[in-house]
Parts: sequence; C-alpha cells; structure tokens
Amino acid sequence: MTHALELRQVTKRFGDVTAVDAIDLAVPHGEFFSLLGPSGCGKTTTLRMIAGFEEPTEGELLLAGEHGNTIPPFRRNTNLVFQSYALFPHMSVYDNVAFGPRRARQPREEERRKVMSVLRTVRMDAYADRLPRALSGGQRQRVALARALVNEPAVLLLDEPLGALDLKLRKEMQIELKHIQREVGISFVYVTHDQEEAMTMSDRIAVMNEGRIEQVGSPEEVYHRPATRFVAEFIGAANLLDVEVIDVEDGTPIRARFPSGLETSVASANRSDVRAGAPSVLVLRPEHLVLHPRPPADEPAVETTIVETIFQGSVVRFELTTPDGTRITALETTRRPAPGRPGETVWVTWAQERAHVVVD
Amino acid sequence: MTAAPDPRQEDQQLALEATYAGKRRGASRWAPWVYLSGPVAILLVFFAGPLGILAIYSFQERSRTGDGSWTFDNYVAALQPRYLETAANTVIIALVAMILLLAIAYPLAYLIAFRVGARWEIPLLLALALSDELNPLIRIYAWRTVLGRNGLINTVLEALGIIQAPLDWLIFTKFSVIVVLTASWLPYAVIPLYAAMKTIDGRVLEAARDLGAGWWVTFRKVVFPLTAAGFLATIVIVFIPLISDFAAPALVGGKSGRMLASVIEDLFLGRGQWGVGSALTFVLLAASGAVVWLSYKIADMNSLDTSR
Repeated sequence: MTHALELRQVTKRFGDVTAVDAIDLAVPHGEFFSLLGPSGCGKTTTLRMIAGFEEPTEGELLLAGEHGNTIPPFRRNTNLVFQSYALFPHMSVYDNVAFGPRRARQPREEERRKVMSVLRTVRMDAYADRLPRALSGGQRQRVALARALVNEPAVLLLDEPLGALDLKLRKEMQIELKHIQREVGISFVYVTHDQEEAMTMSDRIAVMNEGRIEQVGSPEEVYHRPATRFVAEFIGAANLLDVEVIDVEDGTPIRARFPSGLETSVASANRSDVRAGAPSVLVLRPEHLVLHPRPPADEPAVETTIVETIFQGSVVRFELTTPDGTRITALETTRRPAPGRPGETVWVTWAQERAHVVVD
Repeated sequence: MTAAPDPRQEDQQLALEATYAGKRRGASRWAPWVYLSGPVAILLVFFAGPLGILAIYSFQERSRTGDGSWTFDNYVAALQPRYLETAANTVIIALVAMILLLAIAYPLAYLIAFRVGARWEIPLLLALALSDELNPLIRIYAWRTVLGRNGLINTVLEALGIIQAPLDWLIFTKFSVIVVLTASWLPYAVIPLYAAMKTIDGRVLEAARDLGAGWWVTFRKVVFPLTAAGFLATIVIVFIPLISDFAAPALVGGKSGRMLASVIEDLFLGRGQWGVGSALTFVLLAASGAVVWLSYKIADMNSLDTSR
C-alpha cells in the first residue's frame, strides 16, 4: 500500500542556510500527523514543500506514491490551511469555499451541494453570505478549513491554524479538528509548536529540531520513550538527571549510576543507542516521582531539598534540588500529610518501569 | 484629602467637556470647506471658468469677435470625416497605449510588490520615478534616435542582415506614437497599481494557487478585484493625458500618427477657428469621460463581484 505522502531524504537550503536537513517521513492515508518543533526548526518549510510552494533542494517527495517535487501547487492533490487563514477578502464565505470546486468546473448544483455540505461540517452554513471581515477569528478559521476540505485533497496541510485564537477557543477547535479529521478520513499534516496541541490531536508526531527529525511516534511513545534529550525536554515537563550507563546486557534491565554513586535499574531505553560508559540522561516525568520524608530502605532514592511547594488544585508541585544543584520537579496528588515543607529534606523514588534513559 | 471625586464636580466637568466637544463638532463641520476654499476658488477661476468660455465659443458662430449668434455649426464641422478620422486615430492610439501600459504595468507592479524583495523594491520605484524626471521633449528626441530611419533599430537590424532596407513603419506612424506614449506614462501606471497591490496579503495569492488557480485565474479572480481601485486610478491618471497628448504625435507621429490635440492646437493657434476647436475639445472631453466611466464600471463590478 502506498502512503498518502512520503518524503525521502528531503533537504531544503536557502543560500547557506539548511532549513530542512535530509528528512524521511511517511504519512499513511487517514492519519492525523503532526510536525512539532520550536520556531525555525524547519516544520513550516517542510509543509510548504509538501504544498508545492517550495521545491526540495535534494531528495524526493512522493504524493500518493508519485514523484511530486516539481508539481505546481495548483495541480497538487494537497490543500493548505494558512496560519493567517488567507481568505479572499472580496468574496463571501460561500464563494471562498467554492473557489476550489469552480476550478474543477463542476456543475452548479454539484458545487452548491459540496460547498453547503462542508460548511455544515464546520458549522458555518448559516454564514454563507457573509464577507470574511464580518466574521470572528474562530469563524474565519472554520471557513479556511472548509475552503481546503471541500476539495477532498489526499492530504490536508495545516500551518498552525489555531495560533491566532484565544486559549479557550483553541481547546475547543482542537477537539473539533480531530473530530472532523476522523469524519472525513483525509490525512492531516499539522504544523505546530505547541506540544500539548500535537498530543491532543495527533495519531503520530514528528518532533523536529534544527531541520532534522528527532523522533517520529505516537503521542505516548514520544512522551514515555523520547529518543533524544531534546524530545524529552520539548514534550511535556521532564526531569533530566545525568547518569552513566554501566551495564546494557540483553535480557536484563539497564544499570545506570548517578554521579553520587547511587545505582539504579532502567526499564526503558532505545537500546541501539545506549552503550555502557556513555554519558546519558535519565528521564523522569514529574508525575512518576514519589517523595518520602525518610530514606526508603528497599529502593534507590535521590536525596533532595524542597525549594518550593505550589498548590495547583488537583496536584501539588514540588520544586526540589539535589545536593549537586540539579533541579527536580515532582507532582503529587493532593494528600495529607504533605511529605515535607520548604527547606526540609525528602527522598525521591520512582517506578522503575517508568524510568527512561537517552544518550546525552 | 479625599480620594473620591465630588459627584457634582464630576457632572460639571462632564458638562464642560460636552460643550467643548459640541464646539469642536461645530467647527469641524466647516473646517473642510474653509481649508478647501482656496483650491476650489483657483479651480473655479482658472479651470471651470475657461472651460465655460470654451463651451460658449463652441456654440457661437464667429467666436473670435464674439458677435454671439447661437449655432450647432461648430459641432457639425467637428464631425466632418477629416476630423472624425483623426478622432478615431486618437482613440485607437490612446486605447492601445492604455492597454499596453496596463499589460506592462500590472506584471511590473506585481514583481516589485511581491517578487523582487525588500532590497530592490524601493530602488526600482525610485528608478521609475526618476525616469519620469527626464524632460519629455528630450525623451521623445531620444526615441527618434532609436526608431528613426537611420536610428538604432534599423542600423542594428541592417548590420545583422535581417533587413535589407530600413523599416519605414518604425517612425512617423501610429506605432511610434504608441511606443513613445507607453514608455512616457509607464511610471504613472505602475505606481498606483503597486500601491494597490501592496495592500494584498501575499498569502491570499498562494491560497489561490493552492486551490487550483493558475496565473490567469489568480489574476482575474483575486489580483484584479483586489486592485480595482488602483486600476481605476491608473486609468484616470493616464488615459486623459494619453488621449490629449500633442507632443508625441507632433514629433514622431507624422501623418498617420496625428491626434486630435494637435488638430485642436492648429485650429486655435494656426487657423483661428476657435469655435470648431472648442467643439472638438468637448468631443475629446466626452471621449475621455466615456472611457473613465467605463473603467469605473469595470472596477466597481469587479471589486463587488463575488460570483463566478
């Protein structure tokens, strides 16, 4: 089976600057796929190459299995939802959405049926006669989505489409977008710098940094089993503790040693990367940490001092520091009694099956 | 000291502000007319006045002496075949030049606004503006050295062996008048179109391409409607000078490139037939008015047109 979209060793250079550096991607039909990364990581350039606005300097772009590097945007079976919506300001909502179908020269009734149907999908059918300037940001966003969706592209491309909306509306639109994607069954390639947004909506996420893909995986994979230190830091909150891997025998848990000499077992790692003696980082999520007022006898524990406790409703956040100055954040469900107060010493343990190690 | 303001004092303050605002509103109603009175007076005295006098001349018999018997003879004379032919020539030359100007200026304005980048945008606009600083007569003479019988084009083509004898239609024809007019008025066509294009969000053009529109549909459905105001401004600014030009036809027009303005000039200054000259002036004015009205309709239809 061919993929809806495939990138093979695609590179884009602007003069001396390499914006996208030999990336490989494959998006199956019907998948919600996100390109996630900080600004300047090359995610928008990647999207623009898929849309046809930029041509790859090297590598191959396959659209439904066919070579697509040089197909102009107006002949591609892709459609782009722009960050700023880019609605035609002189056309009504209906005419904006009908722009694509009219290029395909369909009969009027067919065009009308399609346009009204997609406007109903995005709940904008009551606004068909309005001009874009008479709409709110969220409504424009829906029209932009409808205008792209109506063409039934093989791949729908979205460039931070929710970036201009306020938080509450953004959360609602995330759920709605996911819902619409499932309903229409079109592959979505979604560009965002917001890891929470990517986690909420995506089937799979490609985490990008400095023009390269650091990891591709489901939200659970990139969260629980980050491939690199960058991914661990970028996705959610993470405590990164320097360790040295001392044993990577197959079939037994990896053994790692803290600078303090404390040793621990690590269940999870990308075993192909991790080598004994290599400087590595232990990734511990704040919600997996357990605080003890006294050193536990039966498991390795890191001694820390409480810097701050912050009540956040359902959870309490603890800001901790180890004797060598490493900062650790722990989240505990609100409970009594608290394990300690600021200035007091607590011992941190973790569920070993949750510990993950990456090469630094 | 109390921090809370005295409510009565506040009321007084509000009342005072309302009074001032009322006065300002009163003044602002008249201010535009006060500011405009000078220019309006100048227009009335030096533009509308002479035009009125010409209108009277055009309906009088022997206008120079002004003995005042009313007649339509001047208009009948103005519609003689020899004048009509020149009038048709004039309209053809002006229209072709106008279409050429738009055909060159639209892509040029697009390139400057969207393609060349910030580094070249201002220099290119300055170069266009500077090209207009050249004295018009000198520019026309420069064209004569290019288009002339022994001019640049003929010399080069002969030297290359492409032609055996000089091309005789390069100069003193409609062709040469159209070339010179187009080149002369290019800055005036590009700049309003450029200004109109700068208001378009470039991503809207990308959206059109993304939705399946090639360059022509993008132009017809997006660029043109969004620059309708610039289109109209360009025609208003350029067409009237084009249709009433007399320097270019006089210097490179020859017989076939004659235009109405030179005929009018000759009627007034050469033959002293002020009546016929005035009548022709109004024919010319009506023709430019018609074209401007037509382009207003086109612009209006397009900027509001939301259908197929």
